Amino acid sequence: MRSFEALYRLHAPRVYALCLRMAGDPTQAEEWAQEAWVRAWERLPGFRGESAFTTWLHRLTVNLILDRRRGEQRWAKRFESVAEYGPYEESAPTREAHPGHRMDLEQAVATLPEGARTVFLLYDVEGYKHKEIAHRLGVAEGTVKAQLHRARKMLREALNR
Amino acid sequence: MRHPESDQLSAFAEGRLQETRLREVVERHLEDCPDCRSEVAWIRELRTEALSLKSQEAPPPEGLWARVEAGIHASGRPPSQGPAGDAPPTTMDLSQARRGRRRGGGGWTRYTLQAAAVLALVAISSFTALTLLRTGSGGVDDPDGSAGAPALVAEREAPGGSVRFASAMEELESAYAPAILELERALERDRGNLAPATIQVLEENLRIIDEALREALTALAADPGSSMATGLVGGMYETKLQVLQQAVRLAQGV
Repeated sequence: MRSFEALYRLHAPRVYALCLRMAGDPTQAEEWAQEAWVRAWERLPGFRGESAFTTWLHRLTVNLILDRRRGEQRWAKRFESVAEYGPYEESAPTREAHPGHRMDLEQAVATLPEGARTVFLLYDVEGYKHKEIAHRLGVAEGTVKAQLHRARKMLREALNR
Repeated sequence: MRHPESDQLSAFAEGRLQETRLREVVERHLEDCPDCRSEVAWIRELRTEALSLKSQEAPPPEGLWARVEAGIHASGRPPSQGPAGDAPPTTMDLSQARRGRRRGGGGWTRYTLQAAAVLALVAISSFTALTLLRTGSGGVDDPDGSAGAPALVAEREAPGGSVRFASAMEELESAYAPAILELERALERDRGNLAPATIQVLEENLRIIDEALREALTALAADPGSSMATGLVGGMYETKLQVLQQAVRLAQGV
């Protein structure tokens, strides 16, 4: 266990940062991070060294988050309904953007609504394809594309580019 | 003027627009449309910047490890007993010590770093071969796959015939030790370029890794058939490689 704890100490900051980016909420992030590490313990015998340990751990964490998201029925419904909305007609962003304040990308991402943020992170950061995101989240591919377009537009406005 | 659909513009910006005719249509449009040109430039800029998010770190909340440990117990896979009474090790983030790098030249040539990287790849391949022998299956690392079968005696092809190792532990050590040694030598040569605070963080991290590695190797020696112990040893060796690679890059200003 001490060996596993050493792995935890060394890699926990990156895992937690990933969960925090995806969740936009520290409480949810902590829950996901805990589950990811428990899953890592359970799946460790399957680690074959074909990828770096950080890559393996990162992929495991993203997969867990996607599983959890897909299991949230109310989340999928809210996600789908955004496709019919205009850019600002939906649930409040996680963090408010401060007009005139020059924020960095991380801060701007945190202001995105949940659906837009999730798709942006999966597509532009993690490199998933539209089809894969749609399948993993249980939504239509067109909805994924709409959310991505929305996220990019909102980020551009938030960053004044 | 008829603009391309947002999907087409995105595909063009990302280099995904495969159809030649369509791509040419978009290119011609961009010559005359500053708004769409700006949109393409923004998508490319955003995607480049987005990659930096992937490597970001954030300190986990206090007590998270205790909850992880509780979760592991609850999952029905109790941990092996370690030495009683030891406080859990703490590590410092090496990436935060980057700002403490001392400026200065000298040290190994880049060839050394590349050689160590090649050795690291060889180490990873050997570990893969070992675990494939254990599981009898192929395929890429899939964290959602199932655990492997108990171990066989390690065997590897070498000039003149296959080499049989007395234990999986011996095989793992022979796979990783050369790469680690090369990196340690490179680091020793260039450590003068690192700030004292950075060296302190590095040495503490390596101490924790070595301690954990010793424990994992002990577990593997006691139970050579344990895929969990193999995974732990492999994970610790990989982590040590990554830490050393990061430190050497920092020391050489790469």
